[in-house]
Amino acid sequence: MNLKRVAIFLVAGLFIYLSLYTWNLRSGYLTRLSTYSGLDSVGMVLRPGRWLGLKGESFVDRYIELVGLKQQNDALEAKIKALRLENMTLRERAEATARVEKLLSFPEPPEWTREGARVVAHRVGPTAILETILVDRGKNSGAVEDTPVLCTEGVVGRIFRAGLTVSTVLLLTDPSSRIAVVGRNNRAEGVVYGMGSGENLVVKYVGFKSTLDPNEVLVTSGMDGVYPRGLPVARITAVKREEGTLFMDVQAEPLVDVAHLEEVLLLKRAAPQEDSRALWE
Amino acid sequence: MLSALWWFVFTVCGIWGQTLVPGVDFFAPGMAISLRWQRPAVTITLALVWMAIQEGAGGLAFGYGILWYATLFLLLTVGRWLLDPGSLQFQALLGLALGLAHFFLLYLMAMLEMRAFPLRRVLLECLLQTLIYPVLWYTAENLFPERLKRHEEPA
Repeated sequence: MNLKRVAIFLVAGLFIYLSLYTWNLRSGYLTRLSTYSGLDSVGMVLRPGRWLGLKGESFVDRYIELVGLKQQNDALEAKIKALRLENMTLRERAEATARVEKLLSFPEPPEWTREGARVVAHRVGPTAILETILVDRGKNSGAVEDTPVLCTEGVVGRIFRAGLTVSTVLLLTDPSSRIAVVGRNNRAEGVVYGMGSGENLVVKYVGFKSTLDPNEVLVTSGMDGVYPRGLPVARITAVKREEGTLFMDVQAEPLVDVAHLEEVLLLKRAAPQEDSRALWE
Repeated sequence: MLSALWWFVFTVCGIWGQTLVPGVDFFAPGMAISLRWQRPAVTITLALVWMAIQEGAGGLAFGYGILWYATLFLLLTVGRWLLDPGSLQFQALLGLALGLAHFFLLYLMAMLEMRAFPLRRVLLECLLQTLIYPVLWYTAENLFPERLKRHEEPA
């Protein structure tokens, strides 16, 4: 093979590759194809192993780690009593709020259904540049792109790619993650940006005159159209005000320990998303 | 049949390996072995399957896999003219080249998609790819069944 032929072959290959890449960026066809084939086959391989691992763990928990079970049981019963009391008070408040909203003719919030999912892996493969986890729910069980994912502590992220039986979840710590939030106590609005694994989150666009308490919890505002309102996201760790800027410099830590997640909840919309413009028309 | 079974087990082990050590391609040594001992059709099929797995499980738009396996194919083809493909030294050099290729390809794809590039993490992954590749190749080459080896090596 002479040099001219090799050069023609390389140039033609590069041209075909760039055409394919550009076409896929517009259509997403090849990305979807690899998601349905590659992602689901990864899930098929990993799930039996995870299942065996969990069975082994539960065997250990059930038969070996029985020490201290009575004390743990007592502590949990006390906690249940406290939670019941809190729940009773909150239910009263929630019902009162619902009555006021109805009186003021607020539009009904969309219904959400929850579904549990198991984490089958964290990042997989050489192209796993994003902070992600793989969960064992996909389009077959109603999980679609942008489905919010949370755990008992707060927001974990949203579904980035959904296969048929497995989905990739973009974690809130990833630099491409954005969540619209509001302070739980002072209602200061902002947007939480991920800064990478093990790094604090940054809250941008918090007005200079807004009030934020140290350790205040930030909850979703629902303004991004992805997450419902009121889910806890992060806790404020530092607030800095610098002269000559419109916004405060705010840092926060995620409430969820993303490195040790084992189970998560997917929040699925029961009704199709309403066009936000319709409220104004 | 034995060939299909061997490559299936290799792929399953590779997926588990990539789950335990994210950012490293565990299929690359398989490509070197397949290219050396198997028919080109087997190598092409395996490359397509592995590409789908890498692209589907990863976080970038489709494109990295083609460049990655094309680079590996080029390095293996050019390297075979100059060195013995069965030597550990050649495979160690290839591991180093793959470590560098991983960095440049990932940087290129991240920039094309305007994604943040976690420099320290990727550098660590490159180092791991460089170190893990020759070890995996040596292990897989020794485990590869003699019955499946085609001894008339293509020029």
